[in-house]
Amino acid sequence: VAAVLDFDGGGRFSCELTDLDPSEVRIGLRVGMTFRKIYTANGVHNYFWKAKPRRGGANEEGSR
Amino acid sequence: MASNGIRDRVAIVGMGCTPFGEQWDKSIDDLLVEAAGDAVASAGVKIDDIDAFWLGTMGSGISGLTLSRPLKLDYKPVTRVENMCATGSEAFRNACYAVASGAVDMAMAIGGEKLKDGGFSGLAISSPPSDGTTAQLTAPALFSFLAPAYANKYGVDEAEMKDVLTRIAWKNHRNGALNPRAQFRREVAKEVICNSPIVAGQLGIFDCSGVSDGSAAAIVCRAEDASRYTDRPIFVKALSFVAGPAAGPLDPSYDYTTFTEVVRSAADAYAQAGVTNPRAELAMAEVHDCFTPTELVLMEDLGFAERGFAWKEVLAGTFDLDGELPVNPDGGLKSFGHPIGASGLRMLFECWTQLRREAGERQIRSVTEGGRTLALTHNLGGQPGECVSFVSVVGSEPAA
Repeated sequence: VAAVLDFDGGGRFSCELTDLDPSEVRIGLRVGMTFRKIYTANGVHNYFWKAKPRRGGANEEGSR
Repeated sequence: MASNGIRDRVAIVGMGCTPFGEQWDKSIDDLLVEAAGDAVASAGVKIDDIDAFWLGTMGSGISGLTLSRPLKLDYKPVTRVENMCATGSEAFRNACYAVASGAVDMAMAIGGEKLKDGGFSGLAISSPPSDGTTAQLTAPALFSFLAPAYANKYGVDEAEMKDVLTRIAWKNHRNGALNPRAQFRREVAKEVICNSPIVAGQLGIFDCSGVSDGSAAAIVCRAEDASRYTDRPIFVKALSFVAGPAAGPLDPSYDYTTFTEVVRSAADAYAQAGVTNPRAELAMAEVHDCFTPTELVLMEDLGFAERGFAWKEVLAGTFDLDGELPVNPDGGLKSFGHPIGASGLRMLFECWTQLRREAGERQIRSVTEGGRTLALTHNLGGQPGECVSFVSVVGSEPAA
């Protein structure tokens, strides 16, 4: 699942969501960033940021 | 910033358009030859009479040779242009400017795309090398963001939103069923559309435009020469093209319920054409319905509906073939199909057909009975928040 994230304090980033059921996704869902494997090509792993729901705590804002 | 326009200085005197769809037996050469042949026959001229050519294709060839080879052109200037999904409109715009400048007497704009047999089911666009950190989202995923953003902003619940999107697809299929050149030529029941397999977000397979092969072409000359070729020329009233700053994906103030690029190019086009109330003045509009929520948002960006009310207008049938302002009477990208480079010219082909009263079963009554003489095309390239937008206004009446 892909989403547009708006950060508390400003800034926007589009990325994949992870560790959630697609039916959980809604505008305003609080998420946090997590460093994950994006893809593997020719045996080389590429890591970058994904977002996952904040379970309990809350820092980042918003997803579409 | 000046945008003077070339109102009534250039006229379309011939057009051609191939059927769109899965044309496994045809190459891009075959498609370009067919559309160019239809256009010259329509204008009653020969290929040799045309002084310069603009070819629009996103990925079915590079350079002017993509056209000069199949048409066996006699050392004529051919420019290949690309501007994403607005490529066909870009070819048209440049051909018009060449004529308006006086540099040539007659020019052809032609667009074509061979998407089938490419090995991909959707669009495959090669990007320059990057650091690999950009999210790789498909076109349906990017445009799917419009639906929940719009629904959330205007208080439309999820089921109502699905009905609105379904009705747009249903309307465009219904129009396409009346069009012998369309890729999908049958009506589709709302239940089938609504329950179709999900592609991205709320978008099902029926919310997406047809991946298609096809080509379309226009021949333009100076308006004062138009009567030599046809007694029913179509005059270019406005051409507006803008490329946005593409900041939407980074800027939290962009809310995914509008295309600012469309708002700006529409305002420019209306100013050039002297249109003050598009909904009351236009006979029809061909708009870039790449996905159903795109058409919804465009109704507001083009000034056909008030902000936050387009969804109600869609449900009320305002944009149906027999509605107040028919939108995509030829079936649109949804049903006619979307061979990228050809689409902008295909939109103009429907304006040409309708304003000349040659649309048969799908002829718009405000042209034949209501005295409306103007039509609009809108062509979009890119994605919400970072796109290019083209708006044209054409009309059947010469300068007053």
